[in-house]
Amino acid sequence: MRLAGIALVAFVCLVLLQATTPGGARGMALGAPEVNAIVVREAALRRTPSAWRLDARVDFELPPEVRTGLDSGVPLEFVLELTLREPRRLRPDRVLLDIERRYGLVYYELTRHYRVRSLDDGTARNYRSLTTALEGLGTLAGVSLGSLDVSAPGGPAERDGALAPPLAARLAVRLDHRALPLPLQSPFDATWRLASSPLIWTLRADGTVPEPPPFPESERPS
Amino acid sequence: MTGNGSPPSRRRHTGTPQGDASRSAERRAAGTVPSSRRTLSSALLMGLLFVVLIVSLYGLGTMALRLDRFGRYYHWLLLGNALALAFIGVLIGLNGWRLIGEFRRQVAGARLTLKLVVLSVLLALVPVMLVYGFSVRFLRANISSYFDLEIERTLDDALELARESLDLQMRTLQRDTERVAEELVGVEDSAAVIALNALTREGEASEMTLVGPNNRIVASTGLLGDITVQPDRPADDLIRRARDGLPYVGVDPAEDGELYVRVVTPVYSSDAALGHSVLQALYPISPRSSDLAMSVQSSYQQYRQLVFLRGPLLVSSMLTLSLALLLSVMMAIWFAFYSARRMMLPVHDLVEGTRAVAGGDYATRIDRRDENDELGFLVGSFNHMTAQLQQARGNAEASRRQIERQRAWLQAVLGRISSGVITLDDDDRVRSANAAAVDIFGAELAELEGRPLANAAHGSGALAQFVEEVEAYLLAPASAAELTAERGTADWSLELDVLDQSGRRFLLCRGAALVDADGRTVGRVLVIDDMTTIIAAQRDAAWSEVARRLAHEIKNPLTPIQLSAERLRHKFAGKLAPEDVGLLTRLTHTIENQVSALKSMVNAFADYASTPRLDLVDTDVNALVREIAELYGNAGGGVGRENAAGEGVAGGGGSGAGEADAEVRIELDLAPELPLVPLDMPRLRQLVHNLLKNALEAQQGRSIRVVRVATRVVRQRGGAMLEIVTRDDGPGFAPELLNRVFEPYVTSKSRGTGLGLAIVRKIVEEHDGSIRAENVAGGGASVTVSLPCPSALGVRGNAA
Repeated sequence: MRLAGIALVAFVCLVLLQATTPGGARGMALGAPEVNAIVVREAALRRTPSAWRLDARVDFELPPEVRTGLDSGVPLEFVLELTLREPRRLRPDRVLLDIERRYGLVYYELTRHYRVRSLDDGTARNYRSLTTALEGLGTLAGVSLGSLDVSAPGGPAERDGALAPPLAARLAVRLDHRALPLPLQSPFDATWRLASSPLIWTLRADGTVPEPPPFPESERPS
Repeated sequence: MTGNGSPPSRRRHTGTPQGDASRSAERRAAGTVPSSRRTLSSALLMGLLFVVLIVSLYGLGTMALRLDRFGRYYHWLLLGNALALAFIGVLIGLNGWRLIGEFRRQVAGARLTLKLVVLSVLLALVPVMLVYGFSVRFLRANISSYFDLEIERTLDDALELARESLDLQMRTLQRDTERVAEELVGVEDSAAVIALNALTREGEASEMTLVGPNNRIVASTGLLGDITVQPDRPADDLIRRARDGLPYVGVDPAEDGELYVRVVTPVYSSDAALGHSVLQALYPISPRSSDLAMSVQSSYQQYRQLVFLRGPLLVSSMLTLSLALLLSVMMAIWFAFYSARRMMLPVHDLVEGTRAVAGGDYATRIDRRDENDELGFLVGSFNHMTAQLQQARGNAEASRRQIERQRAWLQAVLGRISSGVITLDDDDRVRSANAAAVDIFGAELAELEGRPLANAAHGSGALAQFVEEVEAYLLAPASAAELTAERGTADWSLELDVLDQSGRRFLLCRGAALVDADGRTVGRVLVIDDMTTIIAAQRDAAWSEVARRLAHEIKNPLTPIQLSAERLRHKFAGKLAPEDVGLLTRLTHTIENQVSALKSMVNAFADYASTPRLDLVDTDVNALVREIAELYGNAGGGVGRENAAGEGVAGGGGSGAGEADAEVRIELDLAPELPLVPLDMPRLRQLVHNLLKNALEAQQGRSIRVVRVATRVVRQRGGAMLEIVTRDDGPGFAPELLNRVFEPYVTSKSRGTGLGLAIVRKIVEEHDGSIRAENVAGGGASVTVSLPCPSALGVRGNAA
């Protein structure tokens, strides 16, 4: 019985560990996500006097099953995740920016429209075809990321210069699996698990892109 | 019979008055039965796990039918349940493995436990599988029943109706917009805003926007009201389409759930600035229509979604149901293991206890565990039984020890009494023989133990003679009964004398049958007393008395007879004729000689009978022996002539006159440094003299008579003894006389008083010594006299 007690405690510990890890919050998946359905083609951060803005182009190629689901009234929710880090020696990177933007895509059968809606600010656009809707969804121009105080004491701007280390930006887009109706959240089915490979690039504190890239080739998106 | 007897005994078992004492004894001894005891905690743990799983399954079942985000924990629950089930599976596997191991090792109760488990699992599986099968069937039917063709068609129709309604409105509004567009033809760029607002006010449009050739918004009604409001801009593709002459009309959903009709139409203005311009107008649909349309849209969308999700919904429901099934089955299996083990615990204990009892461990007790069922009763009865067994064994052990003590005591007594005791069983086999019996009959008797006594009849020793004599009394029981009836008593006694190497012995034998409580003969006891010594002593006493009376009665008249004969000769020698004088002289000499002989005989008797007071002085025995040997013409082993004719008891016959000149050789073998011994010198001299004389007389008829005399000190358990040994080359003692040679008148010689060796023994006994006579293996006889030698304790023993 002692063995059984140890096994039970181990099981509880495992569950707690899973629940508290960041990866665990996204839900479990036994199937591998579909990586070709969403591709971040290009992305750039620029600095405006008021805020940092993101320009990006994302291609969506939804699988037939997902298209059918969308046309059958299943709402889709896409999540755009952007992080900006300042690499530091012998210390963990400093996270300057960790932003998540959510976009909903719904089909209205009555009016035969696709509607793309920003779940953050509520702005929406209607499209008469899925292609245009996905184009609209994938074209991000000047998305405001809020103000970023990079000129704080010890911040990147203060040490800016030729020798200052560049910042690392990372952009990834995925379909929010958990927002789907429950029966589609099957851990054994990867059809509804759509996620892009992250696009990682470097930039200086002023938003310009340095040369050469400090990241290995293998980490750059194809 | 047993039917009548068992209920009271049962009542006695259950109503045993030992009460708390026996129960505490059970608790004390409970540790002697090894058993794998399940604690309550395992049951609690499993119960808790079971409740958690049931709750989580309930959650799963609830969430599986909901499509909203509330089911975000669904998969966690699913995973948790799967892991918990895996955990229970591992437990079941361990239990099964253990049970199989116990089954192979033939542990007590394992076979029954296995049967119970298999039976319980089967009992649980069959109904659960039935319910599962029907549930799956109903689930499929239920989910399918959600989707009805009629409903679908109705929804389709409703949607189509809504569309038609909207289309009607759209066509009207499109015409209105086209009219506005026509009115805008010719309006200048700068006046476009004013014109547009004026036209808008006339119509129902909520907003109108004029897009110029360069895709710039030329005018918009939205710009007037509030400068900050961004006018809704038509999509580029719509602008392109309109410029190509294809106006667009459609319904757009807005943020607040309302519907707008959007019309995009080209403006064919002649003004270069407004050439290729496009007019967009937004018309709100009445809230009522909007609500109805959205309601239709929402219902249709939900229904379509449900249709789409039918497959996954079925899968997730089946998954939940299967998990519930699996949980039920596994819990049932685990509970089967648990309950079977728990139920079999008393049985296991009972089997182990029975094994222990069979192995002789009567102290075994089984923990009662306060169970009031039949098994509890069985355990109680078992404990009572073992307690009784233990008590009985204790009693038996005590009795055995007592018997053992009595037997040892009896053996000690028997071993120390002088009478020989032989016990026989009812088949006349020798059961036991005490030390005295073995002394009497020799080691042959000891070897006979366990075998029939009659086996000894074939030998030649004392035992064989004894068995021959008593065999008549040791017949079969029937014959013995006849014999007993004949003799009138069960006890018998018998006097017999036996003859063996140690001579003739007189035995007094008494026999008795051993009878048990039922009167059956279970054996016999024979008591044998060696009467030889007692009879010899009696004879000695009798002879002493005879000798004393003889000496007293005969000696007195002898002197007057002798004197009368002398006087007769003196008185009548002168008066008678010479020829008569010779006769007278011869006759009176004969009288005197015979009287003299009679006197010496009487003196000898007197010597034998007399018990003079000893005058002990330290004597050199070697010197004394040498002195006496010289009297026989011998010094230190020399040769002499026999010069004394005396009485002897041993040896052959023959007249002394004819053999007086025989050569006598006394060979001395005296131990050097012989200590002085306190002795009565004259008595000892007589002793040695008698011994030598006896040895010489035993060799009558031989030309050379040899007597060897040896002295030595022998260390014995009782102390040192001085031994004087005479040995001759004569024919030895007759075997039948060997035991009696020291008695008076026990002699094979024709002459002599027969008192020589009797006197020797008397002297020896006066000195607290002992004497023994034996025949030498190579011929001849030897007589050994042992006298106490207290001063020899410091001298090295056995110096001879």
